[in-house]
Amino acid sequence: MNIDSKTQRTLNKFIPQLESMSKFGIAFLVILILIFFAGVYALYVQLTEGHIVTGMRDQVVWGLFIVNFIFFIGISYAGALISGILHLLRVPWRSPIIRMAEIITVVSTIIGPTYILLCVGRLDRVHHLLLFGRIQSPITWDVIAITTYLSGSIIFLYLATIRDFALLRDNPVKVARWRNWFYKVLSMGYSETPKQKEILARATDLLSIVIIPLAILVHSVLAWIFGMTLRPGWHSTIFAPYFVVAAVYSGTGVLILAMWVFRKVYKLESYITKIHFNYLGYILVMLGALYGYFTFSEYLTSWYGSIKWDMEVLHRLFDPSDYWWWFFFAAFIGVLLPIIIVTVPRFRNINSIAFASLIAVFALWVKRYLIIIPTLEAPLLPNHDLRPEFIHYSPTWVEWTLTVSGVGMFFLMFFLISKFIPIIPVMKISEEKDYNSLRKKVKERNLRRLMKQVRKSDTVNG
Amino acid sequence: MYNPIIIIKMKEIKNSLPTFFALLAISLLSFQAMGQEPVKSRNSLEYYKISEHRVLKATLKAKEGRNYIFLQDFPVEFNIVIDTGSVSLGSSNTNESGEAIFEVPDEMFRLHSTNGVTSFEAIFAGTERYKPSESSLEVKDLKMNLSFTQEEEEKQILLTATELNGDESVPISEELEINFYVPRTFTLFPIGSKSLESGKVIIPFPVDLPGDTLGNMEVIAKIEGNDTYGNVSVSSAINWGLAQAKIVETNRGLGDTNAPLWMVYTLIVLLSVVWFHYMYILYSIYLIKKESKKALAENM
Repeated sequence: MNIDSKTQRTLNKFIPQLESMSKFGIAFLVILILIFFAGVYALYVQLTEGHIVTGMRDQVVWGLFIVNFIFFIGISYAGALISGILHLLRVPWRSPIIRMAEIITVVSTIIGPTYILLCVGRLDRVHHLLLFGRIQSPITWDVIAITTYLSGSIIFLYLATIRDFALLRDNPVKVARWRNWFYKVLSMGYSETPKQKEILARATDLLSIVIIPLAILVHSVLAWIFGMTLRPGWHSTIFAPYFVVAAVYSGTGVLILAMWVFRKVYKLESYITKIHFNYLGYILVMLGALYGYFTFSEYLTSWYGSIKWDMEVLHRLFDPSDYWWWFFFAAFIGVLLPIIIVTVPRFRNINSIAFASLIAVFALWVKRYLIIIPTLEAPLLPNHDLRPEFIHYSPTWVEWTLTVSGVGMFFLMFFLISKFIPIIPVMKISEEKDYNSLRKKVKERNLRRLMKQVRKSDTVNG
Repeated sequence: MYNPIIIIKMKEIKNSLPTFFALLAISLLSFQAMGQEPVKSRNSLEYYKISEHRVLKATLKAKEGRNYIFLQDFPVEFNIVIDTGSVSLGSSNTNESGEAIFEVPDEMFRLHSTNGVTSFEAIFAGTERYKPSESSLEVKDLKMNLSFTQEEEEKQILLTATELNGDESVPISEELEINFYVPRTFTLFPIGSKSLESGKVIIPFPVDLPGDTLGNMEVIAKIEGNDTYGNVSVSSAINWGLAQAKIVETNRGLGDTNAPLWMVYTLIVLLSVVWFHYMYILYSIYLIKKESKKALAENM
């Protein structure tokens, strides 16, 4: 495959990332591997001693594991919706961020469901879910939906990477031979012929169309697991769109954080510019406002209805000795702070937008905790066993270790993928115009047009 | 000046004090354990006659601290008392409510009752923890018959009660209170109460009570806690209730093993649409591979 000098220059910029690892990178890798093994040990303890080592009991049957599951499935939206929509709308600034978004999707869709396996007991019976699963159960829908979504996300990432695999095949980098062999196999003999370009473009467009409703469906199914259960705080008709909006909100936040990190670490300032942060910041604001609206609507309806059990959950959320401060953070700070930071020009810069995203992401994690735990702590039937651990859930070190280990796995997988393929689509970037100079030209043209109008009005006024 | 010998002695005593107190505490505890008196148990016996079944119920309890607790899983012996002593009927263990229930064999009752009067006793032999206890009662056999009569439009329940006098049955002269009930889902619904007059009682039948789909319903008549006859009940069925329409349970499918068909079809269609696209895209990737071979052949 012949490449022009611009593509070669871009590739040269990314080759060091693929070929070597800095001391900082090695240290980071070692830490992530240690975190992973800490998780393996916690899992060993859980498997040998049973779920008694977790904080989950007969009443509060879901804990941190389910919180993490929803959180990771939520951030997987970054790739599916953001990259899918940006691709379909042919948004010109999408190229540098689209691969990061797709990697987030694949990695988080792999890690998220792992927490389900940690949550259910008797892993030796997991295959029963496939053999004896009841189609009318939302849990079965979830298994089917997530499997389908993960398959689609992997294909989507692969389609968007074929051209770079071909590029790396034809410009071998100094890496292990197996890696070059992989580049060769995965490139599928792509050589940028007009016919191949056409097939690839059509397949990518088609998958972009399919993946958007699929992503919405996956999170709706997840929401229905709660919404179809007659529990206070869950049984709500708006849970599906609420979950979808919250998921895209956290997904966008994670994408901005990934951009910020890779921009710093791989020195991608010329590719990921302030424009990208600003535009994604605007999307974050819009989603934050929508999420705030849904939150207000959900709790107002619940409060106004005054149903006994709903009120019990609300009292817990608004009680300063119980969950109030977390609720305040998730429902107020997590919405208002990102909006203020991004909308007020004085506060808006790359670092502050990344900080706003961090707040939004953490708030959304807390929000998932508040959806699950207070509801389970307010049972519909009176308690028979009043031991404190049966009434109040508190996560154990095993759950915290597995939570941190899951986050560590996310970073580890992301890091390893970024060492295998360029984190920015090289071929795509190279064929795009220089938008900085284009913007300059548009500015100058607008200025000229304005000057012309001013002159014209001066002439009319004499 | 202190005497050094006295000082040494005092030191020895001081050193041995902890050992002394420890031994004292152990001894006191041992004495307390040894001297623990068995707790007094209480045993109360009741008699039930349900249709032709005669049942004895002994309730066993003991006072632990300030409260009475029911003694669970202890054997209670049931006997019939006769002039020459007592005849063992059998034994039964107490349940979580402290109740030992025993059905009296019909032949034993007939053999050992005199003029319809029988004496029973329930004996708890006691354990190390609980003292023995016993209780007894004497009951006279009572036979009740429940029937239904209709005079013109008025429907009535008729109950007759007889007892043995020598070899023949005679109506009961005592004015016993009879309670009438109809069983509902969770409890017995009272429909009337009246005293016997010359061994007979009549009450109007309530015409507004729902029965089953054919109007069948059961009526129960009871004498409760009587000193002479114990607890006696009799029941009979009649189709005078209001017939209820048969409840057809709608099958939602969600609780069944099989899912509703519409759900299966929807799922198949949705999954087929998505996976068809995946297959098509994988086929496109194959086409890219095929195209590369073609391009390679053309270049050669």
